Amino acid sequence: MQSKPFKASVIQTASVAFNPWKTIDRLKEYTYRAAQEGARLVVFPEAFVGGHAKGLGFGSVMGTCTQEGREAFQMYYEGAVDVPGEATHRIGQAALENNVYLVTGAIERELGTLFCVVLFFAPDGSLLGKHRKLMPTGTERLVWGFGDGSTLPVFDTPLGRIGAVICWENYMPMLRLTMYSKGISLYCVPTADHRETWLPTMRHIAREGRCYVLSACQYGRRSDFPENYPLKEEVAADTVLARGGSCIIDPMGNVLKGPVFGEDLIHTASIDPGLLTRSKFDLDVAGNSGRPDIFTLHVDERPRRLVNSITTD
Amino acid sequence: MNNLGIPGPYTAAVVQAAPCGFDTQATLDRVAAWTSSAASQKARLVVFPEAFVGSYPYGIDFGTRIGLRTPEGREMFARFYRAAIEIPGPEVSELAAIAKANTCYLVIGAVERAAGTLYSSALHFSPEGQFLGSRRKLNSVGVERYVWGRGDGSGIAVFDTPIGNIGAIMGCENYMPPLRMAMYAQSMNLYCAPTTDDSDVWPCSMRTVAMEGRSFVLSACQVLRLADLPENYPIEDEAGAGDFLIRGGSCIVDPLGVVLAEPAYENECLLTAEIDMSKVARGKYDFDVVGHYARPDVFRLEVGASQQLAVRSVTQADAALHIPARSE
Repeated sequence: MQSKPFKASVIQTASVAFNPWKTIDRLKEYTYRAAQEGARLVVFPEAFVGGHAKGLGFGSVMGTCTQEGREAFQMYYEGAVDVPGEATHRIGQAALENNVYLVTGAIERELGTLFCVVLFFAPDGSLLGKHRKLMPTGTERLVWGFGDGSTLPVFDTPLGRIGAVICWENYMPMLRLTMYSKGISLYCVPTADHRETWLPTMRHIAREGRCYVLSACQYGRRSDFPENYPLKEEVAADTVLARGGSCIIDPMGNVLKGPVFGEDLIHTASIDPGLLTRSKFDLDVAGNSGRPDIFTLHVDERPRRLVNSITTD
Repeated sequence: MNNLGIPGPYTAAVVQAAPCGFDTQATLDRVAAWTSSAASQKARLVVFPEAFVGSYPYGIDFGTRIGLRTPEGREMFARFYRAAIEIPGPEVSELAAIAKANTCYLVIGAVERAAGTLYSSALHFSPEGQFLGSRRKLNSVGVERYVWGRGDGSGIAVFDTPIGNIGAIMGCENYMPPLRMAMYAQSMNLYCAPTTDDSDVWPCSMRTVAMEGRSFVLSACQVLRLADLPENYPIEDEAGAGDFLIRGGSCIVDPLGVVLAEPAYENECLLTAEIDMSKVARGKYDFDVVGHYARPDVFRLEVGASQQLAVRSVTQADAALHIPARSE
């Protein structure tokens, strides 16, 4: 890990919902802008590529769903990406062209199921890996699958240890503990939570994990979604559906940047790796504050496969 | 109480006050006065700060450097030791009587003396004047480690009462995810957080753990001025007598992270809020950290709840008969 300070950015803008190719063009533009500000790590919001279907009910009520709900799912499915695939290649190009680590939320398509994922790219353009969201919330459970324990990576990079926890996964203490135990120092949070309660949560996690927290949330209006977007009640084009609130927090819980609501922007802050060590002086949740004589967390990181084919060779 | 056993809305109180440094009897008098004041506002649960009885020796280093301890530091420890209380003991009985006299549940931090070791403990009392139990802090921060031992897993308990399920997590323990998880698994919904942490981030943590546990959180922090401490208190601080060494920041938060009683700083005060337990179920709707949001196929936490005893007496007869060793 390098010891000199460097810059990192979180991006607060809207995806072009259900259009991954136009979204990736926008991702390239914002990555370039962040790199111009000196960023070596750039974090985009949850479900950025593919879209977060904010406000949709997918025509579902207990016991039944409508044809329109199925069509909305089809729209979502057709706007999702394969991992790896053409989309991950293009995002990798954005990382390569701008010489940054790039972390972005996306909607991954596998067979008939969608997953909310975070994709990690290195400055050489390679796809380092992914994290599939373990637990969708509310209506998300209708349209996203559940990740297994095999995608909980923390990547040891020259900038620090990069990992990601998505949205309300941040309220899963055992997932956080797993990340802390992997030495996460650049805790990336692609999110769709734009509530007033989000900032305190990010500050708590930074202080608990003694890590930098980089939280990116979309700022998006009705006009960022397709005209035929099936909201239950149509709203004016400039109605804000996702209001932002992205932030960057230091390992003592101090707010370095944000939150700003209702604006399209990039937050860039200086990351001081030395502060990671200084902050661990009096608290190390996975180390000297851990009490392993009392608590043992077992994490099953094996991939789960529904069908295992056995062939003669 | 309705037919599901959920109590109707009631008032709970958090006491943000100073103990009378190292004078345990005088501190108990303050506990009685504050509890009575809370009861006059109809509080059915009253929460006091960490290390309230027995004192929190803020700002002193007990004469410790790497490789050496000074006689003055030893004397300071002995003084701290004398101010601590035994459990059970006369001070515990007095606290129970205070709970009974004011018909409230009482949760209070105290420095516990057990043989030669001190612990930061949280004590729980019922309105009937019963001592429900206590829990020793599992982990301490900084200089606390010189003077406090560490509790074991045997005391990780939540008390099931008619007003809710009461548990206490102290100070930096609130930054121990597995401990919180162990308490959530016992359906804690009155999460008491006695503390001395007066940092700006503390209320953020309280709001987060409230949302995480879908629990009410009642955080009680001390205020402390030099004036609350003995005259010869060896603090290396240029604070004036009236300056705050610990500035408070107590708060009460609901299960969706809404602040019911805002943190107050630099004053002694009583915070109260209405506790409406029906908010707990409404909160669990979209999040239950040990239930529908837990992923036990991926994460499985084991908690060693056995008492950790340095010495266990095993008689020959017990051993021959394979009778488990007695813990006392």
